Amino acid sequence: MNEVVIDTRSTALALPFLTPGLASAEVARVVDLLGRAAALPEIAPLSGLIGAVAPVQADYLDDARIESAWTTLASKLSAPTAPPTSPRRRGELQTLSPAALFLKSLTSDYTGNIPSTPVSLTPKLEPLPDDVLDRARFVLKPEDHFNIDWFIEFHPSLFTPLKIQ
Amino acid sequence: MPPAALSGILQVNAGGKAWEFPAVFRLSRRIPGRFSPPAGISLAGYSATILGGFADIDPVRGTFEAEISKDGAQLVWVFGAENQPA
Repeated sequence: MNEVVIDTRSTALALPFLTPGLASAEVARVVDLLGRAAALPEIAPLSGLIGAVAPVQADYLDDARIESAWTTLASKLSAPTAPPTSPRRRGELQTLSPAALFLKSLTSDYTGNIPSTPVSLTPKLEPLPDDVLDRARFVLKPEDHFNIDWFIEFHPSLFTPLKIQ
Repeated sequence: MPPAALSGILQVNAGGKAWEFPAVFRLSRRIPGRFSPPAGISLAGYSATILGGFADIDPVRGTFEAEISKDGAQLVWVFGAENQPA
């Protein structure tokens, strides 16, 4: 039976999961993030800072040094990872993650690459009602007056291009 | 509810109609937990956030029982008071 131990190191490892964009309940993603975080040299000094600050300041997350170390750690974990070496078969179903999506209004504006397509979509995160994990649904909504035929095309760097039409 | 499901949306089918409940059901399991704070912090007065609630922490040994989801990752957070993360 596993045991969960709450100490300064586990706290340092957990802090990225309080960061928007990294927070997740998906086991595979969490295992990947935990593995990468544990291998980073930033964990040890962050753990040490928590151990030094927490006994003298109850809200240690308000400490500028911890906040800076936390931000650095989260930034490193948010950095894109290397693409897979073996190409995936076209048409194979993949799981999309927000980090793999490039959409207008979210990251770069790709409208210049889409000929004659004045697409304007509004991204929203709609919280699932009464969800204990505080999950949200990612929604794209076109403008109200937008009545021409349109499509959404995902250009994920890590996956086979997928078109939803 | 699908057989062997670990979590999902509850749906009741009756009279040819289906009703979905907004709350997600989630099967859980219990594992031992241990709070090991930095030197200088007393173990007394702390609780742990677990699935759907809180667990008291033994003020002497720092142990507690954590209820966690079977099919999802979950943070177990120990706190002493508001604005006092651990």
